[in-house]
Amino acid sequence: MIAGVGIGFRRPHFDALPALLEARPTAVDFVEVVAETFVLGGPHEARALERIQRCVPVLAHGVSSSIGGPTPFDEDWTSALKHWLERHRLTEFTEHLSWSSAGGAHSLELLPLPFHTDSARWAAARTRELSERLERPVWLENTAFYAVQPGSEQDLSAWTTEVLERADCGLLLDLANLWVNAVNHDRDPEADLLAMPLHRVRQVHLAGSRFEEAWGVRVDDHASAIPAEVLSLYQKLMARIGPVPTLVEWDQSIPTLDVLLDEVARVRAVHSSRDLLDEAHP
Amino acid sequence: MSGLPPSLARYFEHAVPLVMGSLGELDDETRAGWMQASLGDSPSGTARLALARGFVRWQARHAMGALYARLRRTWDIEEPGRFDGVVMQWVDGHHASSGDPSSIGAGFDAFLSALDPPAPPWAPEMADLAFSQIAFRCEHPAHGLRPHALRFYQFVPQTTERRPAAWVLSLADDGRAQWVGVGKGEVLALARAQGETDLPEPSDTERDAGERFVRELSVRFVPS
Repeated sequence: MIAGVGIGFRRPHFDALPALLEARPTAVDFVEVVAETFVLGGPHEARALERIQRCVPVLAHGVSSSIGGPTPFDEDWTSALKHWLERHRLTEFTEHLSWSSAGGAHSLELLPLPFHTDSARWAAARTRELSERLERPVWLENTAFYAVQPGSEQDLSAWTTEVLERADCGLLLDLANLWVNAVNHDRDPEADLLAMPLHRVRQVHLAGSRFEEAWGVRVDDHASAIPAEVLSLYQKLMARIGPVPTLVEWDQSIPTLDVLLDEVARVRAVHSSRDLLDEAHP
Repeated sequence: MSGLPPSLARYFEHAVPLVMGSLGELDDETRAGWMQASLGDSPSGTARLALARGFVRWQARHAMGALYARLRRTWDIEEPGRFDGVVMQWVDGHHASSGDPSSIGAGFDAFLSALDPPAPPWAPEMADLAFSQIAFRCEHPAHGLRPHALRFYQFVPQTTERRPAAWVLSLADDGRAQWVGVGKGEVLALARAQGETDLPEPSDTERDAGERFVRELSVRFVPS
């Protein structure tokens, strides 16, 4: 059972994080790994993961399955992914509710779909298909988007709800993405949060972002500390649903582990607040 | 799986060229305008819709910059900014072939060989994808003062002599750090000795050089 606050296992910490957890297994409660790094990696990556797994629980996260994409799943990829999940006894898999590839070309970007019932049906069917291929639950993560796509008929929260209901799957709620979207589209982040299918939340992501002047948007870049606004949303979420496994994401300009552990401490202060627990479970 | 709804098929007919097609002389906003003319307006506006192409290009450039960090640094010494310009050309029409971002570099060495004006003679060799992927995966931010595993070696290109090579930072017998010049054969042999199995087959010359290098390892390097 995974609980508490974790961090991502990124390449610059392949040596330092296992060493830290071997010395202090409670430094973090779990670790999330990007599946592509390990499935497509070699023995070094496998050994690093095995060291981590001896210390703390591990969650598997994907970035390239292209759940909403137009092209059939790459059978080589899904087969290798399933084998890797089995080998490392990883019982769930999370992926982004977006598309990223078409016809064998990978954009390396998480791209939005138009928000309407056709796309919700499509994304839900593909989620079920991926779940069947991997023989384990697939949870979906809400992503940042910078433009509402032509043909959209719903807002993101309503569309996400429809996808998750049709797929009957869990939600990896990325509060940084939710807040970035609210800022970029002049929406009320708290209202957007409450409109999400919160009863399906299985995990939370928190991360930093930056305002990109050239583009006039706030970019979800995972390259800085969690903003106070996002932490405030997190506090409201925890008060409403109680503690769920929460990840501190930092994927660009990755700092030292000390900095990441400071972030973990900030999040743990909210996550384990007795007041919040009492409010959520009176 | 089939069954893509017609409305979504129509969407992808426009979205895929917008975000991943080679734009040629069309700018991103023109392409986004065409998409809206066919599918209806985006409430976010044309400029915002066109941003997706910018994000995809940024991700591709980021992947190329990470994969070819050494090539970029070396090239910038001689021709500042040329690498970035060449990568801009490359990413307009080339994409990763898998979820591994470094797969976007497949064929980049041949592209460099055919550049006009020509790239430096050592650039295509340094852009060898297999070599670069190994070096990238072996990167270590602490600059590798622990040579007992391949991941701790630090590779940098040799810039003073015009031949394709890399330096490995290692420990000498007396414990001092030293740089040792190695080529592709040595890197492949070192990788194989450290347990890598998914490697390209070296040429006879590379294999000889690599085997010689690994034989000398026990003398020249501090054992694990």
